[in-house]
Amino acid sequence: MPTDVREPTDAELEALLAEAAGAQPVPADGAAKVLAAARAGARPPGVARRASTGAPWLRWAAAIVVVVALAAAAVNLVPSSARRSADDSDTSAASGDSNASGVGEKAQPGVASTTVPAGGAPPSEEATGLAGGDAPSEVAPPPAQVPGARPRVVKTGSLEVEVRRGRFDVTVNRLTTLAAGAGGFVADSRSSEVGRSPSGTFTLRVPSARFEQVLTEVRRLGTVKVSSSSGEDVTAQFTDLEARITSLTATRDQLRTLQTEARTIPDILAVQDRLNGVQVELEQLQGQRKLLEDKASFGTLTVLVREPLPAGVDEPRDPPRSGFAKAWHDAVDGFTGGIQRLISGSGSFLVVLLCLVAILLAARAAWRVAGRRFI
Amino acid sequence: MDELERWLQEDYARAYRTACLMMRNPADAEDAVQEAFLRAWRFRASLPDGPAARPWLYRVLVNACHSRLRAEIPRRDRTAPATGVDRRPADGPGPAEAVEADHRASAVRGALDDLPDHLRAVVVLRYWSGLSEAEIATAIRRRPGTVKSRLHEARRRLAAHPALDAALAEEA
Repeated sequence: MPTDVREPTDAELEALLAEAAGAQPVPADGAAKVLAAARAGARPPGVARRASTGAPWLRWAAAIVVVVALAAAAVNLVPSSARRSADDSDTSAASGDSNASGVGEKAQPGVASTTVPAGGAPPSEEATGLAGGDAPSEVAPPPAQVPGARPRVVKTGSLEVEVRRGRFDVTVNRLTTLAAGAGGFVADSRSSEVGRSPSGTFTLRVPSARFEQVLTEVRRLGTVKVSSSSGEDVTAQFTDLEARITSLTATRDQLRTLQTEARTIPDILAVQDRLNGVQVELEQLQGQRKLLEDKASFGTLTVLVREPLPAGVDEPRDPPRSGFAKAWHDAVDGFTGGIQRLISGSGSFLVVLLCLVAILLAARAAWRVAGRRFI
Repeated sequence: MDELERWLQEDYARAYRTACLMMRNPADAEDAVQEAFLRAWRFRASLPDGPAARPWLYRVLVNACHSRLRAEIPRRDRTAPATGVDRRPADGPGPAEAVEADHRASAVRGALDDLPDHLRAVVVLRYWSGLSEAEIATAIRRRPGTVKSRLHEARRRLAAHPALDAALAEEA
């Protein structure tokens, strides 16, 4: 573009645009037509379109959010006892035909919704608090969800214990003794030996009542490197299962009575069919209860026992360097170390920054959508 | 007669020609003005009082023009050059002057057509509709600084446009 181009002045542009606009004849009845349309109640096409079809994805998204929120609120607000009594009334009042299918459909959502994590704290938090062996590991059973029911808590824990050299076998024996002495057993045992350093993972099942005691004893076997424990309150889940089993048992008994009273072959076959369905459902629930009872009765403690690696084995050293190679490796180490320190040091800052960027991008997109009709 | 009707009666011609310059098609311009007025009529309860009403109404008009440009017009030919020569009053300039004026008007329209929508709008609003930079900012919902920079950019492009350059020389 040449540099000597002269920009038109405001007056020149006004004159030119006036001439260009003035060349366009104006419809004589334009204003009257518009006014008549307005008085007749005509709607602008954009308004009508938006009112009928505007932003369908937004409406769908809002509807989905509302439905999910309502469903979550309903599941959380209805107490498990109310659900249980509803199930009871369903199974006892209805005929055998509806029992066989109705209970089966409700079983899984009810169990899933009544599972409550212990104390609301994830296991990782406890692991952080207990690492290093400063504080004793505790699994405090949370308050039971169902009044009058015996609290049932599934306790789990894991420990990594380092023992002195040559003490591996003794420690394993001690673990077995501890488990047996508490009334439990060693459910799984795996050991290996890397070089001259043996290690092994042992899964102990100990009665829940003595879980904390065993945990404390195991911590004394050596130096605790990593420790975590958690408890899950399954009282409500257990109570739900029992209630369903009770009602299904009653239904099964009723069906058996009906079976004895049936006189025709079709009646006998129909009752037999329902009876089989109820029996299968009952056995499934009893299996679930047995499994849950076992998990609640016996806590699971996973212990990793290892001896320290001999000197020179755990940290293989590079051959000594000198000159350019040393300088190069020092530079690489310094660079990677610096990057690591930068990332670790700026962790929270980066998180905040990423959040801000995400918010800004979302706001920008929203602004564009909102202002799309404007220039 | 309320303020909106009065604006329609007094400013219809200017609004219609504003839409013509922005949309380059008289039929589309007529539809856009009608749509804009119906919109304003529907929401006239929120019409500001006093001088603030004018940029508000032009905002509605600009929006109507742009929504039509985006939604419908690109699918068909939107250029329908105006022919004002035959409609000039008898006591106006002579045929030679009329032809020259029409030639300049075509050149100006051609130069405006080559501007992008967002620049053409501010030029038309500023130099034809007579809105101030602040009023344009209200009309297009942008900051006054944005309006100023867009006007500067539009003037620069118009100055470099050969058709407008010839029209300016012709007018001088």
